[in-house]
Amino acid sequence: MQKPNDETLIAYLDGELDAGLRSEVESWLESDAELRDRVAALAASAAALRVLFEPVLHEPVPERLLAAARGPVGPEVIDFAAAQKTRTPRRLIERRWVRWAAAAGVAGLLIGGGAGYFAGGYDTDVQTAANVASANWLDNIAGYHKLLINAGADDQALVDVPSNSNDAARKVVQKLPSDFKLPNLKPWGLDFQGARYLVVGGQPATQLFYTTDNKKLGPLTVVIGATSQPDAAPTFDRRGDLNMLYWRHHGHAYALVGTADIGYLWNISNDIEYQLDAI
Amino acid sequence: MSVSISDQLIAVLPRLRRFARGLTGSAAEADDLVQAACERALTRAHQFQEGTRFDSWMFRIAQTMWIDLLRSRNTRKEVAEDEALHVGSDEPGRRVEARLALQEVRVALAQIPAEQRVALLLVTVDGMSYKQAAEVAEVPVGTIMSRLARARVALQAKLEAGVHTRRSRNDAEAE
Repeated sequence: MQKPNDETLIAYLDGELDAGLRSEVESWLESDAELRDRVAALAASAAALRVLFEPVLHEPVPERLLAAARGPVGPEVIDFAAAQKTRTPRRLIERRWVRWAAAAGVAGLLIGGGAGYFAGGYDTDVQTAANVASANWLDNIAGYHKLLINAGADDQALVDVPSNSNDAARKVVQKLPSDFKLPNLKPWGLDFQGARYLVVGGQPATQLFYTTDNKKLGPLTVVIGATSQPDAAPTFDRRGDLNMLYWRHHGHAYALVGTADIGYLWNISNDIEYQLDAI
Repeated sequence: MSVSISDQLIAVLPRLRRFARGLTGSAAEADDLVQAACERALTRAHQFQEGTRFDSWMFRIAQTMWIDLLRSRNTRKEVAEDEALHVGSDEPGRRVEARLALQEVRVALAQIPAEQRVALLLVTVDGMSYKQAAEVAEVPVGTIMSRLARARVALQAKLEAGVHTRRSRNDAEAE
């Protein structure tokens, strides 16, 4: 074999060579210091590239993208090419869209319920605004639930604190309201699998992930976040195939999300409320 | 039970955002691209072939939209303003060095031709095999291999040049 060129060295680093070629490249590397330096430099620049983009995986996914992925889409379907041609004006439009979406939840509300929202009186507006804010919060919680369930607990890119990390409970609790502990749901057959830190409705939140062998129950997520809204009793809602129970207590919002029967969720939520002193 | 398109979209969003960030060089433009790609995927859901990789399909939509845009405006995007480096004077020296190095990677990537950049992002950053990257880019595996090699060599050369420039500047400042 001739001295390997860059293309072959890169394919070697990428694990794309068959066993025969790989062995020949390794023989060259054993005897050629210059080639070893070249491989090391190529590997280092590839690593730098990965490091540059790694943080993007850990950023909370913007709510507008979760809404777009869920569909229906916003009041305007983005014409990406046109958007880029008129960058500055479009950003203004988009910012408005984002602000509206944050206030009104899914964009569909802007078209449908939104019309009533702007036509109604002030008192009605306030109540409606609170309702759509709750709806938006639940939409995002449901989106984050699906994101985690689809990826699985093993996806290190999504789970900020895996359950197998040292002192996982302490790390999670640091992000929970003070004096709170990680809810123990083992009596329900639910094992803690990890936690993810989110921003929902502009407020920090922690998403706890539990799984079980009980197929009737299925995986669950518990979200605990900050809220400026008044206390509210546990309330049932649905998003697609997801059942959700949510409540607010002393500046914190709670949601229990899963495909489990609502009876299970009520009982588990009672347990969580008791454990977290969030009744 | 088959997973809905929306569920699969949500699961692939973090990787798609990373890919788009690499293509556009800008967080805002990247999210615009991802949003537009999601919308296109939902309107063309019937075109997705069951049994094929959903993530490949989504990456293909995003890269096609981006390449189309570049061709339409026939310019190459430089490093976006909102991604520009702002180094605080009170930052520890080593951290500044690290940020400068990452900024050099970002600048170098922005100077690489779009189709090579796609190959680089799919294989080197996302970890796809050459075969999967070829499916996304809709080119033969050999083309991916050569684009990738040209991109990696160019990246390497630009980074080495950056290191030399930085050393020269440091030496000059020291004197």
